[in-house]
Amino acid sequence: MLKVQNLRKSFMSERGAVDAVDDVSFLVASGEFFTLLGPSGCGKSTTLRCVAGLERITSGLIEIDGEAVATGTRFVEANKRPISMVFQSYAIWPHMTVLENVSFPLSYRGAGRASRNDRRERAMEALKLVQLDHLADRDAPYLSGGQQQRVALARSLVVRPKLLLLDEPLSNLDAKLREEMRFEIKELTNRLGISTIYVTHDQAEALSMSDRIAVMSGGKILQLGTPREIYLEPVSPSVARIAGNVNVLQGTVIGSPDATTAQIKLPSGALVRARIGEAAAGKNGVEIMFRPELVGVRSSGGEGAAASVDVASMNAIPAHVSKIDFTGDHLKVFFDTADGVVIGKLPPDQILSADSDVTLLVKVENCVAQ
Amino acid sequence: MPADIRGVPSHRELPAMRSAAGSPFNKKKITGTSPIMSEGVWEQPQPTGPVRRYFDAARGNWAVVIAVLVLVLFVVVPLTLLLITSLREGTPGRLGVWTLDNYRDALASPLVFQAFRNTVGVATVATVISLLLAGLFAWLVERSDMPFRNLAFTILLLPIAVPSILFVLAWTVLLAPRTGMMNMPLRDMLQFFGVDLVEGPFNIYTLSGVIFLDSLRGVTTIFLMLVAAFRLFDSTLEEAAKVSGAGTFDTLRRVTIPLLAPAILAAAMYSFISSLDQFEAALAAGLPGQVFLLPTLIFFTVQLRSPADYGVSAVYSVFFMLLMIVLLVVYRRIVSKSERFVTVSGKAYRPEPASLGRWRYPAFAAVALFGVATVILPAAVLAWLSLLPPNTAPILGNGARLSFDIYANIFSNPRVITIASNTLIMLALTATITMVIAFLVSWAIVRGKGRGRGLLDGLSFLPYAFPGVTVAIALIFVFLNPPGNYFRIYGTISILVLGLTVVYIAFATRLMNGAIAQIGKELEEAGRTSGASQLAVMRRITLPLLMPAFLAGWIWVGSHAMRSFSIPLVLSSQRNQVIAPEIWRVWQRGYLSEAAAYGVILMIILIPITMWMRRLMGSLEGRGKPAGKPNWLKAASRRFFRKAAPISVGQVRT
Repeated sequence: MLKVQNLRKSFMSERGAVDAVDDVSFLVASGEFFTLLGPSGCGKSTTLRCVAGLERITSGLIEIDGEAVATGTRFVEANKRPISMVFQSYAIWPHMTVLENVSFPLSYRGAGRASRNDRRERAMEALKLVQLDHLADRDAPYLSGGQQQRVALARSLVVRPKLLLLDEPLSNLDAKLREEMRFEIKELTNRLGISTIYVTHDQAEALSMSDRIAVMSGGKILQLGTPREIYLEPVSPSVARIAGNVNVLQGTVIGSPDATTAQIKLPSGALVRARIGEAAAGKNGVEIMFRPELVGVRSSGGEGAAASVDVASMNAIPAHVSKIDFTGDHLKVFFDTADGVVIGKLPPDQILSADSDVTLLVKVENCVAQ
Repeated sequence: MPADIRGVPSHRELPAMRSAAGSPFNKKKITGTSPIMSEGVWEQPQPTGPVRRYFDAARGNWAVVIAVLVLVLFVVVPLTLLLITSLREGTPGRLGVWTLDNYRDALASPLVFQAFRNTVGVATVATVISLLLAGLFAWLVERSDMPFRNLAFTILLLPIAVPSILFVLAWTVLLAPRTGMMNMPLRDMLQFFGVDLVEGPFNIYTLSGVIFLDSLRGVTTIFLMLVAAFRLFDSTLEEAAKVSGAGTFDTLRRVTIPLLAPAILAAAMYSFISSLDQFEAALAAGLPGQVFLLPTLIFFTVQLRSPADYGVSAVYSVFFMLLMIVLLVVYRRIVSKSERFVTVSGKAYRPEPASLGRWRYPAFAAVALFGVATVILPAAVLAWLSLLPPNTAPILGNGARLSFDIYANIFSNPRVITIASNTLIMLALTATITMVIAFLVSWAIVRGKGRGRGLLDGLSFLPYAFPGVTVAIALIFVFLNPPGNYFRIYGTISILVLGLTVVYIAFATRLMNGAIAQIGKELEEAGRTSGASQLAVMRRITLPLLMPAFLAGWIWVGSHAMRSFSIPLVLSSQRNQVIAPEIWRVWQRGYLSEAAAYGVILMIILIPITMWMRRLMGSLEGRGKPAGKPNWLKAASRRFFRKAAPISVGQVRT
């Protein structure tokens, strides 16, 4: 559906050319929900704008549905590409009604120039998709943020584009509405079978909506994979951090009990085991990553949550509870270990006292060495 | 073309690249793939040479390219011809050999140094006085508990509705040394105290007279700029000083004024530049007393002296222009600094006003006195003059035989009808052309890419440094010399429109810059990703959204064109007379009542337009006159622009 190959986009600044997008390649399959995830300034929006035709690329290739729309020397204007886009600010035209906004693309796209009645009908259909048909004749400025967002979505879907581009469409909504729209967007694009590129800095959005995610930083793709791969097998601490909170310990590989597991010595001398990540192959100094919510605790006395668990598949790390934050849906606990601070995300009913000594238990399969 | 350049491959590729790159006017859909593509091999593009870079910058920037061309035509061409004429012998249309004689002649005249000194002196003193008055008034209106503050604001605005030439002529009637309507009773009074005078005590036909007139005219502009600065000023900064123990005066001295200093300086500089170009006072009050300023010296050399010396006037114009351009550069520096310096933010609430105590009413009296001097007195004098029978000296004693005859005859006078229609055509054309150009240029400045934008911004602001007289003279040169004479527009309304467009472009682009910057870029991009071409986006999205600002600008330019004086004065002949210079000519011929009647009618038209315009701009900006209640006017303009979202038109200056 979409092919982006060796995409490079440089901007001129006072210090010379800066690569906002630096050699990015990826493929999006037909009907796939593909997300570009990364912190602000990582180049994800620029990548999207290059695909949309709002920026001219410096070099590389963009192909939509088999047609080369951008190369270093060729450029198809945005209005000639089979795409739709939803903007972060929604970009609802304030001088038009809701219906006029939604039917705008129909004068330029879709099967021929539809008649006036036909256009109205199709625009109403798109508004029904987002449950806003009752507001069709309202002036656009008199809409709430959530409604504007739906209008923007309807406008992008009215011509049934081959490729839908969403640029942080939810970041201006409040938390509750955001969650609601997340499912709605996912459901709509699924039902209509539209290939989607979604740009966000919110890992929860990316993980919950996407078929595949490209994690970007500094204009490059750091890792490309399913949400599960990104979250549980990050190729580096930076990817792990972009996708959520993570504990990182330094260590040295001293052996390998089997093909997928490494025996690692921490600076304090403690031994842990971890799965060997693809970036760790052949390396001695590695970083061991595990998620705070996958940390279990056993109090030094021997009882506790993990008392009965098979210790052979667990890493046990002695630790000292230094601080406990109660946030409602979980306990955020700071542990001091001989090899640095480890954060644990524990169930809110966990009994734990500050300033006590405990043993941390993390499944070996949940630790990744890279 | 040398062989080695022809050999560079990038040159031969240029035509093909340009069409493939596809400017919006040349939308060739890419069909088929190049051999490189079909093999699936990607090659890095050719290294960029300077020519290639130039076209890279130009493609996709068609708006910038067109805008630069338009501005070059309107700004650079007249400037160039001015320079050329100053270096050639002969008269326009029959230019002779290249020479420096004009410069020698110009510098040999003692008048030029006198004029230079007078111009700078008048502008300096007048700016200082205007600044003090405007600063006081702005503080009173915005920050004190002076009574009738809304009324005071209106009073301070009204001078805009009084064309300068009317204001100046009225004061010459009041303060002419012998026959001045004010001087005569004053002399009688002084005689009572034993002082015997033949003329005076005041004489408007002096340097001080010109300074007096320019000082009063300068107040409104600075006032509006300072009010804007006051409103944007974060008053918590002052409150922080108060809770730190500083009193009202110390807060003003140590916090408010230092923070506002850049804004004040910018306003003063702006006013100084405007003041240098003040033509009417120099003409009607300065010339009769042999007081030359640069604009009048130029005018004198071309039009009043016989034979006219175009070469020397071109030299004067070049000097004048250089002075203005230097000041303009300084002004831009100050403004860019002031924008960085004061981190201002509009506040929803107004700070507690300073208490004036028993000075409350005297403060308002000062504002009222300003209103009397700038509006009421001149208007009253003109109204009274217009009611005097023809050939009656404007002396108070002659007030017994007033009549409305002159008004009865005005509207049946075919000449008046010609002038009125000329004025209206000029106004409509100037406003429309200026705003269309401004839209195009501003769009390129705000939305365009690359280095061309800085050039555009500078070029579009440059005409602000063009004195009206020099623009007019430059246009004479453009259209009397080949190839401009081919158009045969000298002596038509078109040449007036061209001249006025040049000088109003600076303001109009500032206005449109602000307005376009307020329209989110994504609104346009959403149109593009919805399938609309760049032109369709402009037509269906950008222009409708800009309509309020466009109209406000149209009205501003139109109402200024209506009272424009110096450009039509120099450029108009028999066929293209318009109202403001006509008033002066009629006055010069001695038909005072007729001229006054024209003036009264002009003011009656301009006053409501001025008030409406200010409110319109205020309501567009979301902060208009101080604490105003909504009225029918505002409601009507809201209804008019019903669909437009609140759009700021930027800082609007008059």
